[in-house]
Amino acid sequence: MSVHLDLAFIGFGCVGKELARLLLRKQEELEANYGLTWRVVGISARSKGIALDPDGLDLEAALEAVQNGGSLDDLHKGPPLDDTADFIEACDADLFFEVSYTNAEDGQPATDYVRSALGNGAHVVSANKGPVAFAFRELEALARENGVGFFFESTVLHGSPVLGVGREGLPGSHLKRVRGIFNSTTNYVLTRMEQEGLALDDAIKEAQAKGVAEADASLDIDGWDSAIKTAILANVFMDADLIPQDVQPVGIGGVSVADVQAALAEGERIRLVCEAVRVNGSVEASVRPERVSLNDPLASVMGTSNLIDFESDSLERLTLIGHNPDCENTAFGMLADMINISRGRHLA
Amino acid sequence: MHLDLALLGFGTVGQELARMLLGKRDELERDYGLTWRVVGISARSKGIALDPDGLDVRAALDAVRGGGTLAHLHEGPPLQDSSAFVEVCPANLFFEATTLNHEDGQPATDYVRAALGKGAHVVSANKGPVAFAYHDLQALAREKRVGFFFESAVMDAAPVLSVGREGMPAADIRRVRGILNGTTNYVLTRMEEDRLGLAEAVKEAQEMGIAEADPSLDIDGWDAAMKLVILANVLMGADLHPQDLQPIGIREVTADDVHAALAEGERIRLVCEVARDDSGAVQASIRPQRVPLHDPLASVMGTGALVEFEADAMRRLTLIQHDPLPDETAYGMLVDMINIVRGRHLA
Repeated sequence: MSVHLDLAFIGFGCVGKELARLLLRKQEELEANYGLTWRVVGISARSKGIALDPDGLDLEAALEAVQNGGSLDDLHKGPPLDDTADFIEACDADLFFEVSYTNAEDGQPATDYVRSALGNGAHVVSANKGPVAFAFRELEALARENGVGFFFESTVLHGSPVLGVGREGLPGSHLKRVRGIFNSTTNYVLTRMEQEGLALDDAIKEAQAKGVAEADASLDIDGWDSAIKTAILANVFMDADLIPQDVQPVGIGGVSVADVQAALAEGERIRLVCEAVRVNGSVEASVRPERVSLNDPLASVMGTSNLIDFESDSLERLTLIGHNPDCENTAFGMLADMINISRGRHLA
Repeated sequence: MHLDLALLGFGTVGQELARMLLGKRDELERDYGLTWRVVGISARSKGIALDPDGLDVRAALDAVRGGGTLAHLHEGPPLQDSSAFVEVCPANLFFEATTLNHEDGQPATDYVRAALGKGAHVVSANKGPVAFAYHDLQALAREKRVGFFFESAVMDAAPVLSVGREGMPAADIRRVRGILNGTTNYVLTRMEEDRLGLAEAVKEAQEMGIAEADPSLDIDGWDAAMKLVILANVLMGADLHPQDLQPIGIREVTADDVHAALAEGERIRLVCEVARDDSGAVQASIRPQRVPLHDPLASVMGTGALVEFEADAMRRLTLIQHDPLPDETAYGMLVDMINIVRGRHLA
């Protein structure tokens, strides 16, 4: 069976560019092993312009343009487009990759982008957490109604197959609890506080200098990024209906080097632990710094690595660890989503 | 979809699977549109029952639990053995959970070949057929457009193979490393915790039902070797044979070794590893190794297991199975059945 997909990118930052490179590198393999051919018909990037060409863009030229600080506008064919909302309306792609910025307050405007793409009968692969955390049920219902896929493996653990494990590895089982370390910045900061005795602010500055943390690190440090991911897991795996605000995260702003060292002296590490657990028919979600025993795999997660634990009626405890993820890792999760949609994994 | 099912082997795993099928019957129909009945069971020591109109699974469970045989449930002319059973049984899907033969994978490989050849799906928890004949059997399944799935052959139901198939499609897996045998890990754990000698720890594992009466397959690394061959052949496209590996087991490890390692911040683990070098050649090894305490391998205690993948686009992904429950093997077989129902073998 062979499938052709016309692809579009909403966002073309670090992850978008890595995904473009991955698509080019794997082009022959995708055709040989999955009967999948593709071309890119549109890219909309906030600061780098918009390019739409129904006959197919030159993806290498697009990469080169943004690499050299240029704009995508030179590659654009047809009447000019005002913004990304217009772009989605005008773009006839079969599948949109949504990699624009996450808005932790309400998931917009990405949620509108996803809604309009799905509404037009296109598949959506999102690495953007906002639409999933704030509107999963609605968007999933819309995708189902239109017979298209809405996949987002890269939203939780940078492309490590968390949602794929739930869908393909644990069918017919009931998750009782998911728990883990979902945020790289805070884990990096806690690690550096332990290793070098750095104060919280210094560790954050170092994380920013290394490109681990954003210029505004507060979403990570205050636990909002973790809360968003916890809400996604609770809603997707446990039929909960939470928004990130319901999680009421406690971040690591109050953790000191003395706390980290006191824990270590007692054979424990402080980790920002995210948890969603079924309690009496409802789901309780939390994000807060906790001491975990050095024997617990959570304590073995250092630096920017992430971990998730599943507890279910069928498997006592299954742990996944993604080590030192980067943009390519996230892009790979999106590639996996695209392949899985092309082979109909959204249908049954 | 409706499936007529058959069970080859009706020991602990087969019986657990039968109970799970009964327990999840409504859910399978509601969530996956799947209805089923069992049309045949062939058990080495408990006889053969075949009934194209459907067997009473509860009656079969009761019969073997009471120490009886399945013969009274059988309809039609008597059958000599499992080969004859596979030949005449009209099932759409065979669950293969017979005894492992680590020398050549027989006769299970012949059962699987015969079932696939008839155009039936096969779900196997048996490592033998996969370790000795994966490429042959997979080609046959593909030709017949049926599924040959075996998630439970490695780490029970922990979704190691489905992560490879579904979570990392188009990834070039370059290295797989892990702890694949529960008995040896339990023994090493007990040597550390209570300073037991190897023989004592093995005896304890036998008493707890973790180790077989003859523990040598585990202790000498052969069980781990079979699992490593499966991972290499299925996930890395290798063509290894269990005898190609020369596993070094834990027979020479002493409690003193274990504690000397610990004093230096390390644990001894039976580490299984397969890697592809730049020339494309595949190297596999199984031997006791010291691993630092901060390595996730060191965090695996007791009967737990772990597997780690390194791929081109994913630096390292670790899966850990903690203290598996006794019914996890059966659950992995149920997962395989659901995934065949959803057509996962087709693309």
